[in-house]
Order: sequence, then structure tokens, then C-alpha cells
Amino acid sequence: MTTETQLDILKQVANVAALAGLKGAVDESAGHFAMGFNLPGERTQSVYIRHSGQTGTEKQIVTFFSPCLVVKKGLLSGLSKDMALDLLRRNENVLFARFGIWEGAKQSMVVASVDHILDTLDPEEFEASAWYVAYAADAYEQEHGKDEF
Amino acid sequence: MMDPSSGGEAMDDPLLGGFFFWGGLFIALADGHLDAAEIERLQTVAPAHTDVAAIVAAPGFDDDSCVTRFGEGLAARRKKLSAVERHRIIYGLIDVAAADGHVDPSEVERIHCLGNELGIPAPGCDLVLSQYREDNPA
Repeated sequence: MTTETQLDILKQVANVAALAGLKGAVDESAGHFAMGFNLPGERTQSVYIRHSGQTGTEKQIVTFFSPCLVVKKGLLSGLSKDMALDLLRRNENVLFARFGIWEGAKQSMVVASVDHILDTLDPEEFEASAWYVAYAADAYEQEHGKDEF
Repeated sequence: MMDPSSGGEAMDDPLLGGFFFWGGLFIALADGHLDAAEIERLQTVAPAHTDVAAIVAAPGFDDDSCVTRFGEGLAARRKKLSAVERHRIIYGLIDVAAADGHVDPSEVERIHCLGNELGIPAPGCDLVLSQYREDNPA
């Protein structure tokens, strides 16, 4: 996929966000659309949307995601088996989002995310998904005593 | 942010022409009269052989009839409008409002009214207006 196509997709995301009344910005270098949410208790949460693939009929898929925890990898650190099981259990209860682990070379990141087909994404769905992902990620962060994202 | 799928090109979409015409006419009449630039802009999206000035001068015509026709266009569709189409309509209507060089508060109010018909809240219309102003700096 060309950079131009990628950018067009992010602009389309920005248009749906605007219709939903949500402010945000396309970050071309990072390849995502970013929004910030104010949550109860003076907490904040960032939600990003990136292009993540195509359906079998070549419709664009976008993923809403919000980071909740970064764990450095190492001999005595990293994400424990208990934490991974906890995420699996949470996935059974969380609505309109899922928890996952994004593995980097030096760290793992826990994110809450949800996928959508861009062509059929309504402003109402857009707003709901952004809030659900933000709340899910923030709840996890809060339980770990943080508000970094 | 420039969006090639918005603005002038969007106004050419024949499936959305009725929304641009009746919505655009409603907005253009916000200040009580149509100026030459607005008539010219509307004429580009008017159904064939339509005389914009004659429609406005016809007995029984009032601004609300534009909203009625706009709503009839929505009701007549078999498929609901996608977000892309709704964005095109709002963006295109703003383009009509800006035909005379600026968008008045009374025109913004009418954009909000039509946005409501499309299920777009006022803050959403305002953000599209911000996009339009970024794309078309004065």
C-alpha cells in the first residue's frame, strides 16, 4: 500500500471523527489518527486509529486502539503468565473492545482495541468505539496505579 | 487538510445532487436573498433544466420547503447514507455557503439544521467547517 493511500485512509478516518464531533489529528509519520479523551476523576486516555488491513473484498479495515501498560522485557521482567491469563479473563467481560499484547524487541505493550470496516463505519459507531476502547484501557491502567496514556 | 473526495468534486456526485441543491438553496437563502455567486454555484447541482431563480419566485415556495425536499430525498433512499456521503453533503453545503466568500452565523445555523436531518450533531458540522476552512484558507 502506498503512503498516499495510507494517508487517504487516515483522512477518511478524520472525516468520520469530525462527523462524530470528535477532535483529533492525523499523524502522518506515525501512521495513525490520534484523539485524547477526558475521563471521570481527571483521568485522560489517548485513542489511536490505524489502518490494519483489508477484507477479502478489499474493504479497508481500521483498528481503534489505546495503550494501557508497557512492560520492559528481560530475564526477570516482562509480562507474566498471570497477567496474560488476567487479560484473557478480561476479554470475556469487556464490551466492544479486546485486550491484546503488542510485542516489541525490548518491551511488550498491553492495548485495548477494536476493528472496523472503514466504509461502513458510522459516526455513532466511531464515537462509541473510541469511548469503549478508552474506558477499557483506562480501567486497566487505573488498576495498575497508572495514568500514563 | 485537503481531502480530494470533498468539496467541488463531491458536488458532482449525481446521487447526492438533490441534497446539494435543496440543502444549498436553504443555506443560500439564510440571509433572505440569493446573490449571483450562490445562484451560479447552485445551478451546477440543480436538476437538468432547473431555473433556480424561478423556483424561488414560484408561489408557495418558502425556505422550509427546501428542508422538506431535502428530507424527502433522505426518505427515498433505499440505503442509508454512509459516513463518506454524509461528510460530502455537509462539506458541499459549506461550499455553497462560502460561495460569496464567507460563511455567516445564519448559514451555520442552517447547516446545523440540515446536519440534524442527516444525524450529524452541531459539533460535528462545526468540525467539518473547520476542515473546510483549513482546506480553503481565505
